Amino acid sequence: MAKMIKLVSGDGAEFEVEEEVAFQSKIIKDIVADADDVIPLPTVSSKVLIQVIEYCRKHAAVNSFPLSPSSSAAAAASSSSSISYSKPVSDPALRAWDNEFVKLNNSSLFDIVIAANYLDIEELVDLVLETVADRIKGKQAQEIRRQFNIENDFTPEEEEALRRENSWAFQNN
Amino acid sequence: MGSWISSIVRAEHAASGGGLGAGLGDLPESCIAEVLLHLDPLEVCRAARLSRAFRGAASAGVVWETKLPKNYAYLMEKAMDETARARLCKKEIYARLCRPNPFDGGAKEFWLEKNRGGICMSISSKALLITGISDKRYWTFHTTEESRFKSVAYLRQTWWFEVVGEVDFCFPAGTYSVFFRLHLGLPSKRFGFRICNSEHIHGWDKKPVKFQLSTSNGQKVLSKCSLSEPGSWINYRVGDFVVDKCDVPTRLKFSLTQIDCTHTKGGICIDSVFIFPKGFMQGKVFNTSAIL
Repeated sequence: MAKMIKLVSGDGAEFEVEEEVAFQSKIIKDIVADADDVIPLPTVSSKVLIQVIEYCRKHAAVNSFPLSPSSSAAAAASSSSSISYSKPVSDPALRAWDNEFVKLNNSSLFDIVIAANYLDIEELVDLVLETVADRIKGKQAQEIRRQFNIENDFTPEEEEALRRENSWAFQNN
Repeated sequence: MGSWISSIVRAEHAASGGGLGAGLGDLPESCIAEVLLHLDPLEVCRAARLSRAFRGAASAGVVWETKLPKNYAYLMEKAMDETARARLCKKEIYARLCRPNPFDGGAKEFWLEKNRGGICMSISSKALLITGISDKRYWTFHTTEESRFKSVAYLRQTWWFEVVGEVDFCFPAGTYSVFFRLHLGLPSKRFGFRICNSEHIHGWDKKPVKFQLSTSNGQKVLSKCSLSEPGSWINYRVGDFVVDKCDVPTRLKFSLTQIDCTHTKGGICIDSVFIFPKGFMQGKVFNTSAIL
């Protein structure tokens, strides 16, 4: 019988998950040793937690039966880095699953990455941020601000200074 | 309950309990920096204008470290003196390397192609060994805006046409193409119009010219091409070479010859030799045919 851990979302919903699924989160992996098997997650809503658990369940199944020594080595290597991103998922079927998983609106993606960042699920953070990067590519600033809910908090002077500072990038050689 | 809960609550994230309209700007700067890792340099600079958080992330050394060539320390040494190097952050290093950087006495320059981060190089006619260059009956240097060095070597006529050059450089790993930039006829400007003086063009239709390329690790290319199309600058592609390691210097030798002494040839401008990462060359390219 697999060991179960209970996760409690900010709005009070309880989710029982297998230990190996919950351990996709490094935070949870580190703290379960101290507490009993109930972990409150006050800053994560049930809607987001369901999605995160779905991701973890899928990736736990794959990680426990790595395709090849290299894929588990890549996972081990990536877990020790801080701001670099982990190597791309090598299993094409899993990659396809990931691509389906992130077919969400921007708002949902941000909620997920904030939760994944907080729970320290590195591969999920990387997946979402790479998706965000793909959505930014080729768009103008106004469009990006509108779509991604970014407030322009620059003063006109700061904007002008920035334009000058980065002019090298837009000049012809 | 335990100290771990309070540590989670103290965490710096802008988590809003499931988030009503959380925006990209609400993510921690480290997450924004990670997004920027996936964007090319120009897009990073554009993204810097979105908000203060983006500007901060867009200046992060860790973002630009991945865009710089692996041997950027060597390239910086070639490009600037020690005092200039010390003050620069990674982003400034990138910007600086994107400028034309003269080396080897100034008749050669290299620069980083700003969007893809590959090293490009141009070697002026002044840095090439041209047989008979000092004989003003045959060869003269002309000032022109059409050369990045503002000067091209013009041949009136010769029996022995030989242009040789070399460069010793630590290129970042990759495949590069070598070009000779040539022009049949002498371009000039008169009354704002571009004029091409073709009175000395002759001999190129008799036999093709030969191109050679060799590297210090044994790569060799031998090819030929008939020069044509007077009035335009043409980049004749000699061939490619491959660099495996960026920390090992590659000594490159290249030449252009037409030494068949049964006929004279002339009316040609030599601007420079270009070395570009394969596929980068923008201008008009003529490919040469390999001689086996």
